[in-house]
This record gives sequence, C-alpha cells and structure tokens, in this order.
Amino acid sequence: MSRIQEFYGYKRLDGSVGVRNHVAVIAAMDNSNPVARRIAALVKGTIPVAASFGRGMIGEAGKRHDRTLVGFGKNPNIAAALVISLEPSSAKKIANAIAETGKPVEWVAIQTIGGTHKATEEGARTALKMVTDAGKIRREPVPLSELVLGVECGASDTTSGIASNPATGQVADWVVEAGGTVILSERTEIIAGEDFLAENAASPEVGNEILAVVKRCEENARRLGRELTNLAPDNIAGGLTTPEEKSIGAIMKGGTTSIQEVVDYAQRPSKKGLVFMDAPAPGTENITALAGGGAQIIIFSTGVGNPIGCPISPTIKVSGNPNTVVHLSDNIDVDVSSITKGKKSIAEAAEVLYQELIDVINGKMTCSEVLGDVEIAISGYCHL
Amino acid sequence: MEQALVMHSKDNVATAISELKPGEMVSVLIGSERLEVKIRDNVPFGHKFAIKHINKDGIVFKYGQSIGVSTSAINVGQHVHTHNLKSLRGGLK
Repeated sequence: MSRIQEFYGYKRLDGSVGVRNHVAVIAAMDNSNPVARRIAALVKGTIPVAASFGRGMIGEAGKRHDRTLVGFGKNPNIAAALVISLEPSSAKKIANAIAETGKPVEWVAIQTIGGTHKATEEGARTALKMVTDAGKIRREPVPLSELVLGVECGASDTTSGIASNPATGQVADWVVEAGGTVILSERTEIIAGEDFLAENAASPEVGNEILAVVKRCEENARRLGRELTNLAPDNIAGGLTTPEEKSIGAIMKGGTTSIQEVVDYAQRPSKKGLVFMDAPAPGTENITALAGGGAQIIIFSTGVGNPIGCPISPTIKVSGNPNTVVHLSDNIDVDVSSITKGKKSIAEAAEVLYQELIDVINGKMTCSEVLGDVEIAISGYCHL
Repeated sequence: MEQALVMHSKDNVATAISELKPGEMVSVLIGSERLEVKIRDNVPFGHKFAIKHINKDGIVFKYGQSIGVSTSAINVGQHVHTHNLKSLRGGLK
C-alpha cells in the first residue's frame, strides 16, 4: 500500500520545517524561570522553557546546558524566541546562537531592565508581536524527508518489546524509507545490544562510536561503584531472561536500518536516516535531548504508562499493554494492544501509529499537549 | 487470534501473549508460514517457549538476534527462561 509521504509544515528560513508554530520564552538560567513563566502565562501562543541550573555552570555540563537551550530555539517548531536572563551576557550568548537560523530572536535581562515587572512587561510586549507575526506563516506541503522523528521508551514492561517498540520501529523504518531522520537514544538501553547495533552500523567508524558510548557508560557506573544491569526483578517475572533480550527489545523502536551517525546530547544530526544520540534514558531528560537535537516529533513507547511530553516537540504515547490503554487512557494517544491480544500483526498496528504520526505533524494535538503535561529537564550532572 | 508471537523468521523461541498450559496446541506464525507447537510447560503471558529444538549451549534467537545461550537441551514447547537460558554478555548480571 502507498503511505502518505508529505505533510503540511511551517517552512523556516534555515530550510527546516516545523510541525508547530510556537514562540518560545526561554529562561537562560533557573533564576529567570519565574519571569519566563509569567510572560508565557500572559501571552497565548508562547511556551515557557524553564531551565534547570545554568548559573556558573562550567565544563561539559555548561556546554550541554547552552547547546540544549540553543537547540530548543533552533528547533523548527519554534517560529521566534525570546530569551530571558539575569544579565545581558548569558542572554545574548543564547539569543545570538539561535539567531543564526534567521528567525526573530530578542532578549531581556532582568538586572539591567530594572527588575521583575519591567522585564515581564517588556518581554510580554515583545512576545505579543512575535506571536502575531508568527500567525502569518502558513502551513505548506513538504516531503516527509524533512521530518526528524525522535523515539523514546519509558515505563517499559513485557509488552514494550513485543508490541509498542516493534510498532514504533516499523514507523521509524517507513520514515527512513521516505528520506527522513530518526533519532534513537537512551545509552543504558542499548547495553548488551551494542554489538548488534555496531555490526549493523553504516561504517566501522560509526560502529566504534556506538561501542565507545557503552564503554563510557559502564566506566561511569563502575566509578560510582555500580555494575550496570538493565534487568529488574519485575522484568524477569514478566518473562525477560537476559540483558540482551531487553536491550534488543528496546532497540527495536529505532527500526531495522543502519545507524548513520552518533551525535551528542541535544546535538543536531548532520545525516538523514537512523541516528544514535548519546543521551540518558529517563523520559523527561531524554525527550529534552531529542527536542534540543531538532526532532520536530517524538514517539514515546510505553508499557505501564507515563504522562510526560515535551513542550517543544509533540510527544505521541503508544502502548501495547491492554490495561494501560484503559487505565491511563488520558495519557495514551495510540493503542497497539491489538498486537498483544493477538488480533493484529505488528505491521497492521504500525499503520495506525503511522496515521497518528501524520495527523499530529499536520496539527492534531497529542494528549500531553492538550493536558499541558509537558516538561523539560536538561541533564545537569553525570547521569547514566 | 494469535496466542504467541514470533518476532523474526530466524527465531527459535516464541513469546506467549496468553497463559499457555501443558498439552495445549498453539499455532504460531513464522513469516507467512504456520507451525503447530505442543506446549510442554506452564508458559505465562510474556514468557518464551521453544519452537525449534535447541541443543545444550545452543544460541537462543529472538528478534533474529542472539539473546543468550541455553544451559540445557530445550525441546519444542518447553518454557525458556532463567532456568535454561543465560546471557553471553560479560560484566552484566
């Protein structure tokens, strides 16, 4: 059958295409979060991007913080960005980097403008203009090759590896086939499956980078006095026997194509096809990294269920657990429990998920968008 | 209605998607072909059973990939879990 291979998106000056048309109010550091949230509350059409830490951050953590905030501003779903910070230098650093895309960017510094009220007023006026200007941008037809899909799994259970992850992987394969990009991530989830990923990588160099990601992760764990294991007692009770089995079941959500590139946390891929991002597995942190890396859309595969989505990139929740799709129906966008009930094949259920992906990138809101169950967490410390 | 899923045509195990009992006949779909398997143990939902004979020290395949090695010979229809399958991945418990 022929699948839809185009969508209506917002074309940006840098050539990327958004599936949403938000104005982002970005706090450059945690002390500016209240002002950023206040501005976003005053101006419809904006989304607040609250930072974790940011003040006095050095080394890799500081670079990751800046790269992620800049990545949010550069994300194709963002029409314009307003950066709020305590003082001008940090505000300008983030704003100038976002402005490389050519999109409208302004900044407000609380210390120099004269405190909370003045910063809020100035910010709200700027944001109002940005939102009304963004409203003039119309959706236009573009090929699916413009899409960067992030895949994540959280609150996994026995059904994840046999239903929601393989269905997500089938959709990932279809996006790659259409010329798009898929970002697979979660370094602790590939442990014990890294040989399979490395052998299947686009080149030996990429394969070695995948192996290096896992090696670093294991060394970090040992430094903390831990031997990494991905199998919990409830996984074993649920039928998973070995770490390999759990990892390969998790890797399934990336599909079956070769990994073309390994990128850092919130780093934008330079290649099309399947890409691996070296980022931690916990849900909020991971979808933060995916959005920072330019994913316009995320498919979040879950077993037991998890409500969280990303404010920048619509997050589609898919579950194959027959209980979860009823018990947490507020939070699940796509029900693939037909696989676990033996009524549909993975490919048949994947068609339903693909249609939801097409609907959402054309404007249909996800459960987490409608509910406002969205959050950002930039990794601020050494997280496995 | 399927009672068990085979993830890849190379696999020698299937995953039960209903509670299976000894003596029960289960039809599994491998690619486009069907195989009848007589269940020999209790196999809970989400657990695996052999769909091909697996020798001792034989590789167990799921998703078309090795998920470990058998610690004893496993007959068709027998439960495959921690009692007869171990990881090949060093360093991981």
